[in-house]
Amino acid sequence: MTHKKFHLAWFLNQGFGPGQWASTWRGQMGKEWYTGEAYVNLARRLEAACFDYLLIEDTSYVPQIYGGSWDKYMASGYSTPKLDATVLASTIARETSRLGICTTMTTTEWNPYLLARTILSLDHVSRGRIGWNIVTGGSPFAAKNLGHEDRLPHAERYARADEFTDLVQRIWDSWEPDALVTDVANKVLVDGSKLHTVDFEGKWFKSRGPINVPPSPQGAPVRAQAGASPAGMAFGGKWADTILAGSAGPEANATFLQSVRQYAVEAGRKPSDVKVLFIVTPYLGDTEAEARASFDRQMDELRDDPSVAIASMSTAAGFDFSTIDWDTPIGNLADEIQSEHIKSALDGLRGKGHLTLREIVVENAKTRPLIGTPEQVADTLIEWNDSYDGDGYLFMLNQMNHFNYRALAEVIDGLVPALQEKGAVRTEYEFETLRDNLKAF
Amino acid sequence: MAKKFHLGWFMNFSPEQWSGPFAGGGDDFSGRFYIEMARDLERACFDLIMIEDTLMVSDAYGGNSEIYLRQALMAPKHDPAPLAAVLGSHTSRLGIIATMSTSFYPPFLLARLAVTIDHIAGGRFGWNIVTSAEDLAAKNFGLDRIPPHDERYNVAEEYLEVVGKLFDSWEPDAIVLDHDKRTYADYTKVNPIDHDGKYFKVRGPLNTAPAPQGRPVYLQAGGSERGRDFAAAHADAIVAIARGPKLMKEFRDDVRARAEAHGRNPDDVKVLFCVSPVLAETEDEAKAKNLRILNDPHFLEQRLATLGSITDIDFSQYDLDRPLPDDLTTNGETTSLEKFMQRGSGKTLRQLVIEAGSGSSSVELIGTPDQVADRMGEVAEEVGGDGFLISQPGFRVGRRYLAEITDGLVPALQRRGLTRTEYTKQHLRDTLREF
Repeated sequence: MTHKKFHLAWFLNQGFGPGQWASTWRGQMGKEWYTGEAYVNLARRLEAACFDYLLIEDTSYVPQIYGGSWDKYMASGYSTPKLDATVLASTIARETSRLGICTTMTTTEWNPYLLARTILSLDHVSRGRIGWNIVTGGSPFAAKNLGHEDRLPHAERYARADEFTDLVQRIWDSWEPDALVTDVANKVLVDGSKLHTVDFEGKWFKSRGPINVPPSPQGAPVRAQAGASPAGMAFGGKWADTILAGSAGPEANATFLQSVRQYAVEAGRKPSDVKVLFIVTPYLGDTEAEARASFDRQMDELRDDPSVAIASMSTAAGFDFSTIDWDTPIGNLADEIQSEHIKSALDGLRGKGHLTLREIVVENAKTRPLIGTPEQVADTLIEWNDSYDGDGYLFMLNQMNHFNYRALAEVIDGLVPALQEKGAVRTEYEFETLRDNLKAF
Repeated sequence: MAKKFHLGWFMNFSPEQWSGPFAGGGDDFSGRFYIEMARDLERACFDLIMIEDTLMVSDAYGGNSEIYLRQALMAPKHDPAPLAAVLGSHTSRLGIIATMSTSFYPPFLLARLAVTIDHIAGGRFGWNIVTSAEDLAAKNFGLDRIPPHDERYNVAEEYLEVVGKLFDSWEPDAIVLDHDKRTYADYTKVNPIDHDGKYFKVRGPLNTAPAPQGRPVYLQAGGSERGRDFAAAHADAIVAIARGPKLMKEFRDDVRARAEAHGRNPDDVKVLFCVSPVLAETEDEAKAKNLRILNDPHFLEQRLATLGSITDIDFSQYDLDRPLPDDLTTNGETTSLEKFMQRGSGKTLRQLVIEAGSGSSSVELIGTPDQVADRMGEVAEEVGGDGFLISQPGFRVGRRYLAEITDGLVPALQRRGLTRTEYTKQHLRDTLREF
C-alpha cells in the first residue's frame, strides 16, 4: 500500500530550560542548557534527519501556584528557569540552514508591531525558516510582571488574539513584495513608493506603520498554533500554517483533523494549507519488551512521586493541587475542584471521578505514548497517518523528562531511518524555506 | 579522595553504526559524524580520540575479502590523518591521535604531517606508532611480506630517532617575525639533521614551523616484550588489553619499571586499558544486551575475521568445536593471538571467541552507569591507574552508545571524582600529565 509522505517536527515542550539536568542520561546538561549549546546540537541533529521544524515552547514568568510558592518549580527545574525562546531561535538560525525554527511569543505580552519586527528579522537571519508559535493566553503572573492586571475576560481572548494576528500580518504587508530593489547603478535600495502605512485602529490595538524591515524571504513567516477548544480550533483554522495537537489515538486524531480542516475551509482556505501535526512520545528499545519496561519504569516513577506533574497541572488550572488529597477519588473531593475550568485542566475528567489525582497524572502521561522497537513504532505512525490522511507528527519526550542526547539518538538513528526506509518521511529537504518544505506534501 | 583517571575513545575512520535497530547511515565519508562525536567527547572532557588504521583489504578469513566487505570490517577505512586535521579544527581541547605506520611512511613525510596537524589542532595531536602487522599491507608497497616482528622494532627505533631529530631541526625560537628587520625566520636556527643510518638516510631540515608541542604525543600499543620496551622508552601513553585487574596491574607495573630503567619518570607513561562497557537503565537490561551481542549470528564470524586480519591466519579453516593447533603462531599481532588462544587450555575455538567477549574489554563492565562507574573506580584503584580507552567491537560507533558513555557513564564518574569536569591544559601532553 502506498502512502504519502508526512512531516516530522520536534516539540521542545519545556522551552529553553534545564532539560534532564539530574537524570541518568544527563551528560553535561547542567552546564550546557543556559548557553543553548545542547539545543543547538539538537537542532543540528534534527536537520541531519530532515525534520521540518523545531518548536520552542516559552513562558516568561515564574510559576508559583503549587504550594503557593515557586519552590517546587525551581528545585525541580520544571518549567523554570527558562530563557527567552526567541534568543535561542536566533542562535539556532546561524547554526542551521534548512531546519524550520518556531519560536513562541504570546499575544498578551508583546505588542503587535515589535513582535512583527522581531519575527521578520529572524526570518531574514534564518533565510526564510522562522515560525511564530502563537500563544493567546497569558498568566496573571505574566501580566503582573508587565505591570498590569490580567483583566481580559476569557471569552474575549481569541477575539483579541485575532485582531493582534491580523494586525501583525498587515504590518508585514506594509512593504510590497518587490519594494527591495537594490539597484546599485541607479543608487536605489528601496522603492519608497512601494511602502504603505498601516493606519490600523481596532478594539485593542492601534498601529500606523510601515515596518522598517524588508518583506519575508518565504512570503510571510510561518504561523504555528495549538488550541483544542472550538474557539482555538477556529483560530488555528483561520491563521495557522501548522497546528500542534496532542495525539489521542487514530479515531480522535481523525475527528480533530476533520474539524480543523473544516474551520480552514470556512475561513476561505484550502484544507492542505494547514499541516496538523500530532504530538507523540516514542518509547523505543532494542526489543518491544525493553521499550515497554522502560515506559513502565517511568510510569512507576511518576506514580511514586507525581508532585512535579501536579505542580504543572496547578499552573495550567490556576489551582493549587497540593491542597487536596492525591489518593482520594476526585469525585469525592470538595466542590471547588468540580469547576469546568479545573476539570479541563485534568484532561477530560468526565467519567474519571473514580480516579485519584495520582492515578489521573499517570493516565494523562499515557495518552500519547508509542512503545516498541523503531520498526514497530514506525509502522504504527504510518498506519495512523494513512487512516486519516494526516500531515504527520511532533515528537515530544516524556513531559517530566525533557531533552537528553540518548533519547534523541534513539529517534534520529532508530525511528527516523525506519520511517525513511518505508518512504514515509523525506530523506532530503525539497526546498530552502520552512513554508515551502511544509507545502511540499 | 579518589584519584582521577584518563579517558579516551579508540575508533577509526570507517562507516559509523550502519545496521541494527539504532543505526544512522554509514555511507557518508565527509567526517561529519566523527566531528559530532569529537565534540561529544570534548563535552565529556575526554583526554583523546584515537583513530586506528590499517592499510589493506584483508582476505585472511576464507581466503577472500567477502566477509570483510559484507560486514564492512576494516574496509572501507579512510586515512586518519586528514580526519585528525578536521577534528582538530572543530575542537579546542580534545586530543586527536592518528595511526601511522613506520613500515610505510617515509619519516620526513610523517614528521611533516605530524607537525602540520599539531598546528591545526593547537598542540593536541598525537601519533599512534605502529609497525604494521599484515603481509597484505606490505604488498601495497612493493614488498612480498612484512619484515619479521623484531626486525620491525629495530626499524622503528631508528625511525623514531630520525623523526625526533627532524622535530628538533627548527629551534623553538627560529621564527622571529621581526617587522623592523623584515625577518621572518633565522636560518641559523634551522639545521639539517644529516642522518645516515642502517635503515634511513635523511638530510632534513623539516620545512615546517616548530610544532606547538615540540613533537607530537607518542602513543603505542605493543604487548610483546619488544613492544612493551619500545613503548616504555618512547611513548607518552600505551594502549593495552589485559584480562582482569591483576594482569592489568602486572602490565602497568612492568611498563613503569621499564620506563624507569630507561631513565624516564614512570608517571610520564600513561597506561590506558581498552574496555567496552555495556550500559542500560537496569542491570538486567545491560546483561540482556551483552548476551544479544555475543549471540548475534554474525558475531563469531566477525571476531574471527578481525583477528585473522591482524594475524594473517585463516580461522575459517578451523572447526569451531575443536581446539586450535597448539603450534599456531603469527608474524602479525603476536600478543593479540596469545591472549585469544589461551595456549594449552584445550578450549574449543567457539569457547575462545565467547570468552574473548567483544574482544576488546580488559575488564567486564556490564550494568547501569552507576554500577559501571563504581567498578571502574575499583579497578583503577587496584591497578594504580592510568585510564581507559572505550572501544566497540569492530570499532563501530553509534550515537546512542556514544550518548550512553558521554551522558550516562561520564556524569557518574565525575560525581565520584574519577574523571575531570573541565580541561585545565591546552596541549595534549599536558592534559595527559594532569594527573
